[in-house]
Amino acid sequence: MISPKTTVSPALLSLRGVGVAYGTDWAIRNVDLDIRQGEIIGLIGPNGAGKSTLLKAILGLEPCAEGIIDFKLLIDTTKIGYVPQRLSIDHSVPFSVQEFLSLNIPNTRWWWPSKNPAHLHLIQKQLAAVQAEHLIHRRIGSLSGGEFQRVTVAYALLREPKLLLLDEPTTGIDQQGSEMLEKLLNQLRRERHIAVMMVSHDLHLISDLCDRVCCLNRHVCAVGTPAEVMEEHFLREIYGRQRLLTATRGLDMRQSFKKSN
Amino acid sequence: MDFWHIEFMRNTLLSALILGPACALLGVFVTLRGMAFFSDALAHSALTGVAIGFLIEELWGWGFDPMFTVLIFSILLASAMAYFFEKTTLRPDTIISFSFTGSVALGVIILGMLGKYRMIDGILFGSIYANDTADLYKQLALLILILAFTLWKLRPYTLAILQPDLARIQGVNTSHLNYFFAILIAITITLTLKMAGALLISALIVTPAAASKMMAKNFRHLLLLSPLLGFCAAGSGVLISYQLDSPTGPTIVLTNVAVLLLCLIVTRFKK
Repeated sequence: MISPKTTVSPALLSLRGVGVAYGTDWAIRNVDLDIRQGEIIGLIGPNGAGKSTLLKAILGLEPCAEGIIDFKLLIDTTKIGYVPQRLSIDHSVPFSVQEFLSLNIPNTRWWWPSKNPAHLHLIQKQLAAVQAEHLIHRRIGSLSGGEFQRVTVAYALLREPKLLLLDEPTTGIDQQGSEMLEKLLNQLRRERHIAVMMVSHDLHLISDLCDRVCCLNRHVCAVGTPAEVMEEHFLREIYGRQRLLTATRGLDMRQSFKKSN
Repeated sequence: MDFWHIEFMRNTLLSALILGPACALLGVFVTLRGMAFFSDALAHSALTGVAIGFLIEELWGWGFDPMFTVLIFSILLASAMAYFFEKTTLRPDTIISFSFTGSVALGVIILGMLGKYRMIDGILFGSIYANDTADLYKQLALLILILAFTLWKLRPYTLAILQPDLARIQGVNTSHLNYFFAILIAITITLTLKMAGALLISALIVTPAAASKMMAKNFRHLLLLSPLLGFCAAGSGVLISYQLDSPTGPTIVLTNVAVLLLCLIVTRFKK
């Protein structure tokens, strides 16, 4: 196994020998990983490797059949923000961005317009942090993939998380949206010292953005810097040749987009 | 007006004014969750609930209000469907389809064996004039129950519909909420059966919410507008049926559909 990059930041969260089972099948097993303050970790691996299961185990949504999750500086799961892949909402439902964000403000009379200007200010502030303040009255179902991702990040930021978990954040978003997400996550790390753990099949985003990469295939195959982990022969072994081509296809587009901007 | 002094007409109007907004408010969540087919299936299974009531009376001579067996059967069927949604990999529409057709088939067979085929009309299309004061109290209790659910569980249930994982992170037991909501639909259908009949109940649940979705600016407006439209359509439906001497349940449903079309036209003009 490739050794992890040495870092001075304290660990927010430590996983030791974590395993999650569905019935008699192990989704993941023997996962050892530290998540440090202000770092961005990419979680890669083929479909069915247990990446989303690992996120759910950290969130407490899947019980660990073995091992320990030590919350260390996080204390508990309340300081973890989760950004899901999608919402199950009919596009015709008039559900506004403001209403969606209000769902994450505790102790509000959600069914009645809040008279508390502090709540509105809080929502505006988090939307501004993700450059989405203009979306506040838009219907959530009418947002593009990139807009939706920024709004869900704003939702997660409302509880001042120390760790953000993102599940496939670039699925269904265009190159520009992906670039914006990259800038946003870098900005959150810089300004708020938030750690980020991100599941993605976009290997170029992972290599551009992440400090460390964890390659998972039901167990931890490798942890290290992108350069250490994402060597072609290693990825080919994990993903298979065809899938690797698919995952890396966006490289030329991404580079030409960067040049044109 | 004349009919206010006629007891059964007064009961009919009051019943419509209670059930119209109750069904419409419930309909907001039913449509948000994509459960229109679920409520329709549950409504049709009321036929089986009535049939089982007659069967028990025939076998053991226990005579009681058939609404009791409708309630029990609807709750059992709703819970069974909710269980299958959660625990199996079958698609929800497949689960609903076999539960619905299977239970209706069972109901028709039982009614046929008991020689009560003629009862089917009343169950399918309703008989709102059979409403008595005791029914009104039950319907009022239902309205209060739906209002209480909306006030207390609006935030967790809405979040559970939008993204169950986000709700569970906040400590919401999404499974309990889903079961409770399925049972709430079953109770609503049982108490609305007399007004609209098994065939038409889901129109009272779904139509006002669908009309409001087109007009409302946000979710709060939708929560207010849907029961308001349900109230107006149900009240005017009763008055129109009195004037035209038409069957009340179907007239209320048609009034709801007219409101929906009107909203559709207004939205078109706005664009």
